[in-house]
Parts: sequence; C-alpha cells; structure tokens
Amino acid sequence: MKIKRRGIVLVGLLAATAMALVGCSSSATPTTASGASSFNAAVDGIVNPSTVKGGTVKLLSSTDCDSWDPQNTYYGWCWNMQRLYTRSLLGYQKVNGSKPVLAPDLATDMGTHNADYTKWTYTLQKGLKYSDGTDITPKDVKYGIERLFATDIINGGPASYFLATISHPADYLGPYKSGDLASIVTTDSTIEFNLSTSYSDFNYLMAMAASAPVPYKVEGGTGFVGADYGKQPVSSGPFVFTKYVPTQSVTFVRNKFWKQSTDKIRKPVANEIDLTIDSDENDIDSKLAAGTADARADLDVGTTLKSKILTNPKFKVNADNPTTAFTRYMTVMPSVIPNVYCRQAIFYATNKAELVQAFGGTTAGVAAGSMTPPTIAGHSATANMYNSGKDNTGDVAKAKAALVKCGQPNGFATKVAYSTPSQIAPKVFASLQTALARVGIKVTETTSASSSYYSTFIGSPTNIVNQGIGIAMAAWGADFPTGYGFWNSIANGADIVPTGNTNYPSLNDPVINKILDAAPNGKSTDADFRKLDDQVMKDAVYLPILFGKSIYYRNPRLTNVTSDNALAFGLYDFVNVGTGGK
Amino acid sequence: MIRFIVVRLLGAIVVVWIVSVVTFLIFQIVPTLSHTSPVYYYIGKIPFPPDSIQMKALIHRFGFDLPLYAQYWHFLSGILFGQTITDGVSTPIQCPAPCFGYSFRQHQLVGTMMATAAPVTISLCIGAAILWLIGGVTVGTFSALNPGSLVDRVGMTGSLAAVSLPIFFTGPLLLLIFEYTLGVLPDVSYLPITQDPAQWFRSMILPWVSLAFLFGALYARLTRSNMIETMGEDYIRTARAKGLTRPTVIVRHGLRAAITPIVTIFGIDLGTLVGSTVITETVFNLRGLGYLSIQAIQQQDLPVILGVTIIAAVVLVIANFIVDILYAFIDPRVTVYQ
Repeated sequence: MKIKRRGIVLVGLLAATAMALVGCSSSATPTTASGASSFNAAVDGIVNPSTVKGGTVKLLSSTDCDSWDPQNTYYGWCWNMQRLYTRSLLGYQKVNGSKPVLAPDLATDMGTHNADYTKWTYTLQKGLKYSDGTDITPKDVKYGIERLFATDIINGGPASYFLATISHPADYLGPYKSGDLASIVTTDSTIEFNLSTSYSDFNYLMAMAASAPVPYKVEGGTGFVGADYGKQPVSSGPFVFTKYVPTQSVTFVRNKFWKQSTDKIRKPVANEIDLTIDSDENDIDSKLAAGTADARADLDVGTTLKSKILTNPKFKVNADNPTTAFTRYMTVMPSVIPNVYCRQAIFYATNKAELVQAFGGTTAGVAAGSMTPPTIAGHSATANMYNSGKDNTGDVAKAKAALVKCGQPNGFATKVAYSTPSQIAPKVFASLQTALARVGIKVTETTSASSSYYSTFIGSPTNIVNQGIGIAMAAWGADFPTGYGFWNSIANGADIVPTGNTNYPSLNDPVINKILDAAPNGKSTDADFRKLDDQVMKDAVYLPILFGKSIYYRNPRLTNVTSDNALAFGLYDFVNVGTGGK
Repeated sequence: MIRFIVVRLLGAIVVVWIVSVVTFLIFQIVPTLSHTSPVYYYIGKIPFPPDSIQMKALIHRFGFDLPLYAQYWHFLSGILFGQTITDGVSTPIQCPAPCFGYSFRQHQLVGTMMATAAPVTISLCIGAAILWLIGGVTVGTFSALNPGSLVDRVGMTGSLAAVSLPIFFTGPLLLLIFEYTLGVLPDVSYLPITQDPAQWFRSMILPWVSLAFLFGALYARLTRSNMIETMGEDYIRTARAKGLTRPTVIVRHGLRAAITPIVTIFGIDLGTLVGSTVITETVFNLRGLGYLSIQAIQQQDLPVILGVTIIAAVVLVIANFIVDILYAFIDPRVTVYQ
C-alpha cells in the first residue's frame, strides 16, 4: 500500500495489521526487557510496567480520524486507537519490536483452513458482549465484513483485500442494498469464509479492525447506520467510544461488559482515555513538554519538541525513535532505461547519506540496503547488493564502470518524478541530481499533483514512457506484515494494470512471479522472500533509500508504555497504558 | 439613483452567476482532464478500478454520471434552495440554503465549516481595515499638507518600508517583540467576541497591526498624491479666497475629492482580503477562511475549496457593488451611463 494513502502523515502511516500486546497480558510472554524510562525503551520493551488501575490518560492529535467506523478507517493511528473499542477474530500477541505475532482475540483459536486456503473457519468464544450488553455473535462478524462491500456508502477502509478474496457475486454491494452474502456461513458459534482464491494470509485480514463485529442490522442504534455508524460505534473492546464531537474530542470510558477472561491480548488499567484534537502543532508540543498531555496519538512530535528531545537528556529519556514498517525508495523504470547496467549506475552513484539528510536525518530513517523493511519476512540487515561505500555517499568508481558496460561512459539524461505539494521531495531531488551528476547522469524534475501521481502519472505504464520518466520517488509499507502483503502489489507481473498500477516499473520477472504466485497457497517461505528481495535488487528497478523512523514522546507518568509497530508505525499502544491510578 | 442601483445589482448578479459557472467547471470538470475521477476529491482516494461496480456506485452516488447541465443545476440549486445529502442508507443530512455541499474528509457541512471560520476572518479584516484606513489617510493627509517637511519625509519613508515588508516578516517580528520578548501579549489565542470580548481584542491586536501596516502604507502614499493634486486645484484656491477656515477647506473640499479613489480601492481591498488572509491567519494561528482554504487545498478537499472560492468571489462582488453605490454618493457626477 502506498504511503500517501494514510492521509495526515506526510510521510505516510502505513501499517501492518497486527494487534496485540506483550508483557501486560497475563498470557502473553514478554520477549524483551521492561523497566524504567530511557531513550527507545518502549521500542522493544515496556516502560514503567504497572498493574495499578484507574486514572485518565490524556492524548492529543492534530486531526480527527478519517472515520471511527472500523470498516471505514485506513489511518494507521486510528487502527491503533480502535484497539480500545473493537476486537476482531484475531489480534496480535505482540505489537512492538519488529516481529508482531498473531493470536486469537474473539476467536477461541487461530481457526482452521482447508488444504488450498480457500475455506477458513473460526469459532467464537462464549460470553462475549457489546457495551450495550447484547451478545457478540458470528452473524455480527459476518455483517461487519459484508459492510465492506457497501463501497458507495463505506469507502474509506481496506475493502480491496476482502473484495479480492471473499467469494461474492459481481454485483454485490453490501448488506444494505444486496442483502446476505452467501459465501460467509455462520452458526451459533462459528463463522466460515469461502474464498474465490487461495489466500494463506487470510488470518491477517481477520486481525484488521475492518473485521470487527457490528451489531447485526442494528449497528449503532437508531439513526446510526451506514456512514453514521462512525459517530457512535458499539464497543466490543475494553473501552466504550463516547462523547464524540467531530474534529474536537472523543472520550473512551471502561466497558463494563468486557471481561478480561475473554481477552488474552489486552490488559487495560486506565479508567478513561481522553483524546483532544488540537490542530496547532506547536500547542501540542508545548503541552507534551509541560506534561499537561500524556502523548500524541497520531504522529511524530513537532519540530519544536523534537529539537528539545535531541538536545536535552531530560526529554530524551522519555522519547522513542522506532524503525517503522515502510521503505522509501526510487523506482528506476526499465521501460525508459532498459539497460540494466545503466540502472545499476544510478544505484551505485546515489548518495544515500545525503538522501537520508534530505528526508530529515537519522531520526527520520536509516539507510536501506534492500527493500524489505525490518518487520517483513525476508528482511536482512546486512543485504546491500549495491554498496554505497563505507560512508554511504555512493561508489563513483563502480557507477562509472557500470556506465561503460551500459555503453554510455559519459552518462545519460533522464527525468525524476515526484508528487507535489511536498517540502521534502525537492530537497531529495536536488540531492539525487548532485550525486548522479558526479558520473555524468543528468536528471531533470517532472512533477504531478499528488491526486494523480500514483494513479495516472507513475501509475500508468504508458505515461511513464510518454513522459520519459526514468526515476520516480515512492514509498511503500504493507497493511499486514507478511512477505506477500509487502511484495505482491509492487512486484507481481500479473498485477500490472493500465492505470492505478502499483508495480510502477512493470516488473515481470518469472523468478519473482513464481514466489508470489506460490505464496497464497502457503508455499513460500521466509527464505523465498529473501530470494525474492535479492532478485528484485538484481533487476535494479527498486532503489531502496531508507527504512522509515518516527520520534514519539511519552509523559513520564505513563505506565505500561510500548510501541505498536504492528498497526501504527511505533506509536504507543494506548489500550494498556495507565497513569498509576492518577 | 434607483436606476443606477438596480443596474449595478443586476450586473453583480450576472457576475456571481458567471463565477459559479466557471468555478463549477474548474473544480468539477478539470480533474477528468487529468484522468482523475472527481470521486477522488470527495473521498480522498481512488479505491477501485475505473470500470468496477464499486467505482460506478461511487460515481453514481456523487452524481458524476449525470449530464453536465444536471450536475451544474444540482450544484446551483443546492446554493439557492438547499438540498438533502444522502447515500440511501445513512441518515440524510439536511443542508439548508446556501448549501455548498458536504466535506467527506471532515464529516461536516461546508457551510458549517465556513460559518465557523468566517467570524475570525471578518474580525481580522474589519479591524485591520479600520486601522489602515484611519492611519493611512491621516498620514497621507498630513504629508500632503506639508510636502517636503519632516512629517512628510518620516511618513513616506515609513510607508515605503511598510509596503516593502511582507506579512510573513512583520507578523513574526511583532510576535517576537510583543509576545515572546516583552510579554505584553502572552499566549493570546482567539476566542469569539461573544464569548470573551477582552480576549478576542487581545488576540486580534497583532494580526490587525501587521495587516494594517502593509495596507496602511499603500493608503498613505495614495492619499498623499491625491491630496497634493487636489489641493492645487482652482476650486480650493477659490474656497480659500472665500475666507473658509483651513480645516474646512482641507476636509470638506480637499479630502472629500481626494478620497474618492481611496473608497474605490478600499472596497475592493476589503472584498479581496476575505479570501486572501492565508498568511496572516497562518502566522497568528487564526482558524479563519484563509486557513480553512489552505487546509482544504492541502487535503484536496474539493467541496470546501469550491465553497470558499464562491464565498470569496461573492464578497468581492458585493464589495464592488457597495463601492459603486458609495462612489455615486460621494461624486454625484457618477451615473449609470458612465
């Protein structure tokens, strides 16, 4: 999924769909150290572990969620907030670090599937209730997922995964207009999904908030149906969504019908969590620094607080800078630069150290040697096929040698595309231009409005050729942390389309296709995805620049603080955060 | 005079109608020229392939499958008569006239968003306008009455400096001096005048001054040149010869004639300002129409951009209309035939 689609995050907040929690859960097993506050302590561990209950957590965000309806939400931070009041069949046993692990949530276990991964069956736990005291049933889970098909009414969520996998009539438009979806079969305690294609990652879809149950044909009560459900979603989680004033605030209070005994992946301690929307970034920074707010729920801290964190140890011990789940890269187009050695020359000549600075420095990311980010199967911290030298400033000698092999010893000219408006992209372009000029590769910029950049500018193979776009800036993160989830849309030759193409270089490599085609049948291993990454690098079409990082700040009074790198790029997992009862 | 007003009013209505047509065409049709469905600007993404049933359902919901004239009529009738916004399932949203549509990004009626933002911008514009009009005309008049004097030199040098300095310079400079250094106006966040008049006044002082600083300089220079020209006219000499007092000559005969073009540009400036206070509102963290429009542009929230554009154009047309009327009162020679 493209970074840009996670709206408010300028660099994009794309996340995997993992949910869970380490340490605080009675059944979860902490895999990392926990303890007192220090810089990056929440990245892999839990800061200030505590079982003291009560208190109110005060959160801030600069904007409202795209929607509070679990089927209508795509912002990563909102998926993180939905852990407060929604549960799905599955969740995550661990959300921090780089290896989120799936676990049952509403379901009794991880479910079962047939041999070709086209039929998935789950059993719901007994005694599950909504915040209004009514039972949560398999029919409700089915109804929630059917709502994803009502795309003219609910169109903001990750519906495309469900439309592409769950078998449905071509004209099915959800429960409001088309009624029941026969391919999802329920009993009193089970739910069975019949897919139109094999999909071994289906459990990851069931861990998305988009799979949360919605009271069958009742939704949020009188008047709160369809798109209105987001104004009053019914809670299946430990907190109740209440006192919502759009663009201003929302309050989460404890759900008296939620039982700890049914929930193995959350252990909330706070009585209340208040989210206030404050569009003034400086004001948010001031309140965090003063301790009148506990954390920011949506994004990195602003530049003012970031500066304090980086220069003042008092603030730094309460901050975290996790590596997140997306990769920034340059697409080098074979349709415009067909000779692989010419493309390799670009790879070698690129000054990644400068590019990292252009993106915001080392707190914004670490230089990437390959495409697969740390949370995805196949990642290798040491992979670096086109080594940029010890200082990462590029290998001019190898670049020139590649140019000789390419038959262009004096370099060549091409265009670099990026979307506007952007404060960062022009700096990145300037840095790239300077680096490539060292070996005679002359680049000029070509831009497009962000509205059409990914759909018809670099998302159209024809336009790439017509415009002569040799290099295009892009970023990518998976909605769920699997090799298939990360790679299929950007590397499978079968998915090349005339517009809205996410495989920008139109990569169609049999080695890669074979691995991706085998993945939905459960036949691709981590080693296969490592091999896939290597093959992509050999093709020299994706030039990785950095693995993204974000910088967050936590109030020293907060307890049980840990990063949610499964859902929200390392933002804190607020469902278990406490204030020591204050 | 009535005929004059009626003709000007009809002209204003025609201009507003043309603005609505042009604005509609720009925002509704142009996206298709860049091969982007207008659906994108309503929901913020292109979630489905162009020919899919899902995309067709969305296009139908927003009416983009209607003929162009029907789309325009839907848009215009919403402004004139209001409309009900519905997807057939969710609770219909009643949007009273003038209905500028619904922001699906911010889940609010555009009219409500503009109504919330407008008092901020109106406070800013009116307060600044009073300051720059009084300050600019006063400085210009005194300079004109004593050309070459110390008053004139200081006034004109100051106005030259003021007109040369952009608001993104003077605004932060004022903040630096009065908020952060002297602490005279610490932490002044905007509150509506109806809630806390004192806080409202405190929060508007620096924005008024910085905006008035720029415009006042222009008015001072314009007033000065007009006054110098007017005070050299024969009828001024005649007035003096008749024994009228100096203040009477200056105010009733000199300033009244010199101020006619000032009134003209004042109306236009004030009208234009409503849609162009982006920098001032951003510097002083005011959530007015300028800030709303820049946010909408950044988020590509088409209904909001459309609404603010139409409102800004209408205000400008109304301002011109009022100026025309005032002009006729100030200078009786002005008639419909001119």
